[in-house]
Amino acid sequence: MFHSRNIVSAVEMGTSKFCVLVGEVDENGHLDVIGRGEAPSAGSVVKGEIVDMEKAGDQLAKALEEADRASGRSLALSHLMMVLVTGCGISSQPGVGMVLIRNDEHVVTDAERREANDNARVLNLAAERKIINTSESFFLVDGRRVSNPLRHHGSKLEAHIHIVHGISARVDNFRNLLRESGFEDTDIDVVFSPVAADFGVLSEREREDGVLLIDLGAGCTEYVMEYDNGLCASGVLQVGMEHVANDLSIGLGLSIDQCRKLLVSGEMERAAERGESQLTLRGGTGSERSIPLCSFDTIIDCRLREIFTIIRRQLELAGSPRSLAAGGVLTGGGALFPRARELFSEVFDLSCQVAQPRDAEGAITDLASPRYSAVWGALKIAAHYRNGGSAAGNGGFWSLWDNLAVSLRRGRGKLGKALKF
Amino acid sequence: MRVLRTLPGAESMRLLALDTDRAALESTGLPEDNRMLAGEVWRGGRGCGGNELDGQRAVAHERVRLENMLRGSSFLVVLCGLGGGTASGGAPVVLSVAAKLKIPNFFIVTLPFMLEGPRRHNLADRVLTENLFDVADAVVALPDDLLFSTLPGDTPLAAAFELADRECAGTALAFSTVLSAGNLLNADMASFTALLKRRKGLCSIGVGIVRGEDACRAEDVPEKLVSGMLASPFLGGPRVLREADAAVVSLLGGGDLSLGDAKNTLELVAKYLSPDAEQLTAASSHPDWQGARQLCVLTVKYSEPAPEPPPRSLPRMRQEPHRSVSKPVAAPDVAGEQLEFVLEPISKGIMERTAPVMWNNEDLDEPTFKRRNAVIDDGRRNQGRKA
Repeated sequence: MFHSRNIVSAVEMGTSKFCVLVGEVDENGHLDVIGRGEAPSAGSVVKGEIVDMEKAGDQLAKALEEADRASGRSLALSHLMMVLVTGCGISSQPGVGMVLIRNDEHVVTDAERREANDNARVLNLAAERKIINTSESFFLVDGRRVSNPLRHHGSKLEAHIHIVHGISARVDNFRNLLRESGFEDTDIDVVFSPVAADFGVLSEREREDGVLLIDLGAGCTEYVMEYDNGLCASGVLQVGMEHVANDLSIGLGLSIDQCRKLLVSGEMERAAERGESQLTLRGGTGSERSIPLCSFDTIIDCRLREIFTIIRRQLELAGSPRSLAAGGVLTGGGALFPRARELFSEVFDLSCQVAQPRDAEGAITDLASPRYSAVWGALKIAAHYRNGGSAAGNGGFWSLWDNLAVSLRRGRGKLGKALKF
Repeated sequence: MRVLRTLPGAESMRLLALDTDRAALESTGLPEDNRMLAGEVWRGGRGCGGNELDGQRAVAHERVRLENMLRGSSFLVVLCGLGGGTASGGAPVVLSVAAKLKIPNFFIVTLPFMLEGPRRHNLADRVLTENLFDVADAVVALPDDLLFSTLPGDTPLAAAFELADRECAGTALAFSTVLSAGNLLNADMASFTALLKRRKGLCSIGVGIVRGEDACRAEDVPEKLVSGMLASPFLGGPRVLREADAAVVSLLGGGDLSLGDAKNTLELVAKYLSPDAEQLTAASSHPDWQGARQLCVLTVKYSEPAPEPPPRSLPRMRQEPHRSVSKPVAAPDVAGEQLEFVLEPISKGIMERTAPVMWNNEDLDEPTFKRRNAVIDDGRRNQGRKA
């Protein structure tokens, strides 16, 4: 009976928290969250990357144990675990692959699509780098742009894909830590955090219209840009809300914990609403000080504006389309900070909505916070992977591509009929 | 003067031309009210023929008129060419009037060409050391000979002087605007004075100007400004910049002067300076400068050895060995009477021991506000008052 259960899980090892989600997929492909575990990362992760494996292992164990208990001891039954990765020198680039359509009818079939994708994945990467995820952006059939090439007539198919690659040793840290925590036999796959967040919070409509998603986390800020149902840019900047707290701490002579608390407590906003111009705090030396609110604003503005400006610059360098009808979406813990939304709109000249996990259902439903966007997205990807089930068991980076790409397509409801698994 | 009037921002200044020579005065093209013929009755408007005493007497005759004209001014910039009679004798008089009225003063004086003969040169030197240097709030001495070292030999003489005039005018304007219109960074009169009065030294100035709304929006404004500045005849080339003991860098612009531009420009200049040079940085925006930018660099090469220990009010300087660009960080002191410049490596707090994140040669772990030189009031200054 147990074997019929379809359990998947997702693990985030973030700068602020370790979070484990356990989900169960029923026969209709419906995903229920059945357990969640969370533990603070306690300094073991800095800027999105593990700096202290031992401490990270301890904290991960806590989160795993909690998730296991909450899910009624079913975590160990997970068929697939998705681990979010970020930092790790991750960068992305477009890839192009071409095939000639040689069959008699000159119709694009799945074989051609796969071959074109395989060709597109051939990259001259440095030896220490590995492809993490790839995702289809669009196709050209005889030079004509189509979003789904299947059953098109033509003689030449070109696949344009978006490739995310990172330094493999650093990426493997995440996977190995999980292996060491007692999941030697489970399939463990990695997914680039914003790709997961994209999957967790965006609607099909938004993807089609074009959207910029920014995940403002504690250690890193990640971004993805979707246009016409295809990923066209993604990346990570290892600067996040911790930097904001650090700037405040240096600039105002407060302790770092005090500053972290200030950013989440909303104390500054409340003071501003009350019409006060100063905030009285106990400084590092123990004496009380009245710090003008504008000092906070200046420091925070400088940092957030810089983060967004750099991302904007990176997007421009990547030659990304400028017209995004669905506007901007901000998620991650930083999205809870009101000033971040305003600056986002200002820098990118886009509307800004704060996104939290979409259609999160199940016993654990308190996922309604931007903090859980990425981990929820990873769980969803894992569930789709299980549903697709085509290549389960072979693990590895490249398998993820197949499954991820297929599941993304299936999620979008476009290839459901065309691809019968 | 002619040149000065053509620069933006000159409207906010009052110009006064003072000479004993009527013809020279008339050639300035200034309105009657702004001209003063010194010692008209006595010298008859014929100049004083290089006689210092005559110059002194002539200008001293106009003391009362000068006092009336200068009264109420917030700031006085005096431009003169030492070595002749009127300026050598008159400058100390003007200075004494300013001192009497307690107007902060700033002298930009040129020293004569060596080829004009040792007499004029010695005269200029003596006036500078004895009468101006210790008394005036700030003196910038520019040797005319610098023109030779920079300009090609076939430059028309008139053009050379025209350029020299432009440099002097630009400098006068830069400093007066920075000191009167308010400075966005923390170089104030006190710090200028401290830098310039510490020891006797020779100065050089370079001015780069970019004009036009479109030109100011272009990406390469910092480069244009700096290359213009480097080509200035009174600078003496990049070598002088590198050998300078101290430098005052000021950037003027309109309301459209952006943080990024200012930073890029000032950092670019800093690259030409020796890492050991003391640096005062000023940036100022003024509505009159809308659509125009001016970069002005004043270098000082001290001719006397450093006194020990340096006076307290001088900028302190600590340099991190691997940092080529020094970043001034304003540290308002508790008493609030003197703003000091402390140059030190920027703290990275909890990010100190992590792998740095670099973007465009900036270390993103350093607080952004510090890299942008924003001044933050952390409430400590008011602490004492409240208690």
